[in-house]
Amino acid sequence: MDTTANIKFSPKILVRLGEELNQSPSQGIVELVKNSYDADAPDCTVELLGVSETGGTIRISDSGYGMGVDTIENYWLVLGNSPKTGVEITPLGRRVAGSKGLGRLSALRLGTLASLTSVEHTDLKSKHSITINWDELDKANAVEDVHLKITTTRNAKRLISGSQICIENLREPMSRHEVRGLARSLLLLSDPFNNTSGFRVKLVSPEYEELSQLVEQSYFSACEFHMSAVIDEDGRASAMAKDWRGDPLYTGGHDDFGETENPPYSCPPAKFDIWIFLLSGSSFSTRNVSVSEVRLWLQEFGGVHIYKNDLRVSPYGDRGNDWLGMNLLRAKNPELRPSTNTSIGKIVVLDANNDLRQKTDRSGFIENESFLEIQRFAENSLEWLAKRRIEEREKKRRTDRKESEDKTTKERKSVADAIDLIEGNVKTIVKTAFEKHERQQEKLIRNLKKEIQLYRTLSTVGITNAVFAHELSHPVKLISQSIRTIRFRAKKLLSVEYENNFAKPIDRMISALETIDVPSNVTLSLIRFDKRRVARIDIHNILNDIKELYSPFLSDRKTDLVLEFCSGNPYLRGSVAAFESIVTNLINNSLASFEGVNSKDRMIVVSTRVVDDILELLVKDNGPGITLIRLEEIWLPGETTRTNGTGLGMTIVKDAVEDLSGNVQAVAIGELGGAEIRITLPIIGT
Amino acid sequence: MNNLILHDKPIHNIAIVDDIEDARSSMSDIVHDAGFVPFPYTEIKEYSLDQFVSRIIQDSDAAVFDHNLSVGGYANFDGAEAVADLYDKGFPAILLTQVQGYDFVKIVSNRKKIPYLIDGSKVDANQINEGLERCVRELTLDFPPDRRPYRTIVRVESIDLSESHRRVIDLIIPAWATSKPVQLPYDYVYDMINVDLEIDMHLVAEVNIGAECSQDLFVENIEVAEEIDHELTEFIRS
Repeated sequence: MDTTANIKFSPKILVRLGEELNQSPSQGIVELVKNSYDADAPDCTVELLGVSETGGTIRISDSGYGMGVDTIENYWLVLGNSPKTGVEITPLGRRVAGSKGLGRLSALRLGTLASLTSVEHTDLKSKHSITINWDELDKANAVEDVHLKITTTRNAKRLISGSQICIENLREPMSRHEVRGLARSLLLLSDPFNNTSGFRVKLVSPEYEELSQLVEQSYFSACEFHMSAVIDEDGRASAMAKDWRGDPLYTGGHDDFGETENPPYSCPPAKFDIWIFLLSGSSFSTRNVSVSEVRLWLQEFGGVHIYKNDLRVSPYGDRGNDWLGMNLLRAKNPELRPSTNTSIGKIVVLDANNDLRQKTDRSGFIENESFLEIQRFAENSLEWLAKRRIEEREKKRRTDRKESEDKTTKERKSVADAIDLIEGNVKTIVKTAFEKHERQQEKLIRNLKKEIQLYRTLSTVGITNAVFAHELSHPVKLISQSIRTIRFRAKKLLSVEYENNFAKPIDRMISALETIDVPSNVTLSLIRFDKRRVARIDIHNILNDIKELYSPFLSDRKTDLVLEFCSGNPYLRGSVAAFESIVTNLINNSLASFEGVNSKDRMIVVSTRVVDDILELLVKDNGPGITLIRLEEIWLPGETTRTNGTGLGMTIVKDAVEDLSGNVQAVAIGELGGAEIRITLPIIGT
Repeated sequence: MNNLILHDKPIHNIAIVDDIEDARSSMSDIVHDAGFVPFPYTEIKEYSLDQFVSRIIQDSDAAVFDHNLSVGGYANFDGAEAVADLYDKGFPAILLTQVQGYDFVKIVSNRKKIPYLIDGSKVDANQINEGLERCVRELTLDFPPDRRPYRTIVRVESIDLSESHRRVIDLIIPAWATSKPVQLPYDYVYDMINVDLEIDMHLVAEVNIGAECSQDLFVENIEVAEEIDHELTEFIRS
C-alpha cells in the first residue's frame, strides 16, 4: 500500500529565514515600505509606539492599491516565491522593488502578533484582515498545520484603498541608535534630494524629524565641485564637472575614461552625481553656511549611494561603507580626491531588465558583471575628475610663474622708462643705483634657485629613503621574528650547549638587526605628518625620543650620547620635524667625525639651559673638531670635508634654527675637544 | 601545551591574520612555540568585518592580528578594527604594528579595546604568552595598573584643522604628564562631545594614567567639564 507524504516545514524555519537572513529590524521594515511603493502608494507612514521597551508596536500604513483576499492568500502569505521579477511596471509606471518576501517575514516576526488590514482599490466596500499569532504558530508541529483566517467586513468609510500592517508586542526594544538608523534608511530610500518617484515615506519619531530637517538643509550649493557622469544605452560614458557657481570646468567623453582602452560598460544606463566639498575655513569664508554645518550634514549623509530605479539600496553610502575605496585614494592624494566625509554622491541606475540583483540577506547587490561594471564606471569617473584637477593645478602653477616673469619684465621696463624722463646728473645716479639693485636682485634669485634645487635634491633623497624604509620593514620583521624563534627553540633544545655555542652569535644578529632598523625608523619618523605640524614642542621629550631611536646605532658605534637637562620642561612653538632635523643632523655629523679617528670613549653631550626665555642648546663631542674647512663655510650647501658627505646637514641646521627664530654658532674646538654647536631658541615656557 | 583559560574554556587555537604569507608562517612558528595551535588565514577578502569576526570566534580561541591588512587587498578592514570588535565580544586578541606603519587614527581611536599592542619585529613566544595573559586578565575585568581607567581632567592644548584628512588636537592630561601633549584625532573627540573644541577647554575623560608611554594611552568617554575657575585653570596648567 502506498502512502502519500508531503515535506513539511517546522516553524523554526521561519525563524531562520526571517531573522537570520536579515541584517537588522530596520532592514525588514524597509522591505515592508518597499511593498507600499510597489502598490503605487504616494506615501507611507511608519509609526513607532512605545518601542523603547519590550511590547511596543510598529504600524505601517499606505494608501496604495491595497489587496483583496486572493492577493493576500497567494502573494502576501507566500514566502520565497514572489511573483515580482523586477521587470514589471506598476500602473503608475514604477518598477517593482520588493522581492522574495523574506524581509517582510523578518519584520512581521519582530512582535508576537502581526496583522494586516487592506482595502483593494477595485472594491472599496470591503475590508480584509488577517492576524498571525507567532506564539501559536511556533508551537505547531509544521507551518502547514496552522490555519489563518482572512476576515472580510464592510468598509464603512469607503474612501480610499490601502493597507495597514501592525506588528504588536515587540519581542525586543528598539534602541535610539536603531531608531535613528531606521529614520536614516527611510529618509534616504526615495532620494530625498531630488525626489522624482512621487513616493514619500514618513517615520513618526523625533529622530526622523531631526534628520529630516538636516536633509532639507541641502548644502549642495556650498560644494566646490559637482561632477555628473552618465552611461548611455550603448554603455558609453561621458562626464561634466562644474565649479561651485555652476560654471562648467571640464567635459569628457568615453575614451577619456580609464587607463588606455576603455571597453563600453556592460551594465544598465546610469547617472553618477557627486558633490565635493573643501571643508576648510578659507573655502567657506565667502559662503553663507558654516563649515561645521556642512560637516555635520556630510557626516550623516556623505558617501556614494546607489538608487536602483527610484529606491536606494543599502549598504552603499552607509556610514563606514566605502565601496569605491575613496578614503584610501584620498589618503594618498588629499588635495585632489574626495572622501566619504567630504562628498555626497548618488548613482541612479535605470535597471529595466533587473540586471542588478540584491543578495537574499539584503547586504547589497550580488557582485555580478553589471554591478562590477557600475563600480568600474564610478571609479573611472572619480579618476577622470582627479586627473583633470591635477592638470588644472599644474597649468595654474605654470601660468602663475609665467605671469610673474612677464609682470617683472613689464615693471622693470616702466622703471627704466621713468628713469629716462629724469634730467641731468640725477639720471645717471639713479640709473647706476637701479642697475646695482638689479644685479643684487638677480644674485638673490640665482641663490634662491640654487636653494630650491638643493631642497628638490633633498626631497628626492627623502622620498627614496622612505620608499626603501617601507620596503625594508617586511624582511627586517621576518628575519627578526625568525631569529627570535631560533633563539627560543635552541635554548629549549640545547640548554647549556646553547649558552656556550649559540647565544652570542644569535644575540649579535638581533643587535645588528636593531641597528639595521634605525635608518628606516629615523627616516619614517622624520616624515611623519604629525611631526611637521606646528604645535607645542617639548624639548626634553624630543631629545629623549631621539636618544632612544638612535640607541642601537650609537651602541654599534661605541658612542655614548649624554643628555644634560636643565630643570623644568622648556617648550616652544614649532614643528617637531624642524627641531629633530637640527639635533639629528648634529648627531650625524658628530658620528661621522669619529670615523677614522682612533678615539676611545666617544662621547656626544647634548645639554640645555634656559636664560630669560631663551633656550641654549649645546651639542658637543670629543671628536677631532671642525678642521679642513673654514668655520663660516660649514653652513654653505655642498661644502663638506668627507668624500661621501652631501654637505647639506649644516645648511639644514641653520635654516631650521632660523625658522624657529633662533641663532646658531659653531666652535671648531670646544669644551670636550671636538666640535661644539651652540643654538639659542626663544621658548614659551618651562 | 599552554594552560591559559578564559571563562573555563582552555585557549588552544590561535587565529593568525597577516597579509603576508611568510609573516603568517613566521608567526605560526612563534605561536606554536608559545604552546598553542596556530590557525593562519590565507584568504579573507570576501568577508566583511562582522563576518570575519564571527568566523574567528567560531574557529579559534584567541587571535594575533597584524594591523595593515587592507593596503594590499588581503582584507576589507584593518587589524585594529578587528581586535576592537573582538574585545567587545569578549574574545582575546593581540595587535601587531610597526613604527613604519603606525596608523594613528585607527589605533588611537580603538586603543581602549586593544589590550596588547606590540612591535611586530620584536615579538617572540614569551610575548605572545604575556600578551594573551593580559588579554585574558582584562576580559575577566582584572585590569593591570597600566590599563586601569581613571576619570580625570584634561585640557585642550592645541587644535590643528589645517589638513582636512588629518585633523588633530593635542591634549594635556595632568594626571599622566603635566607637559607632554597627547595627540588625538579631532573627530574622535568631537564625535563624543558634539561641541566645537577650543584651545584651553577642559574635558573630563577616562584615561589609563598608569600607561608608560603615549602610544599605550587611551582617552575614552570624553565629556565637556563643568566650568572651573581661573585659579584652578592656572594651577592645572602649572
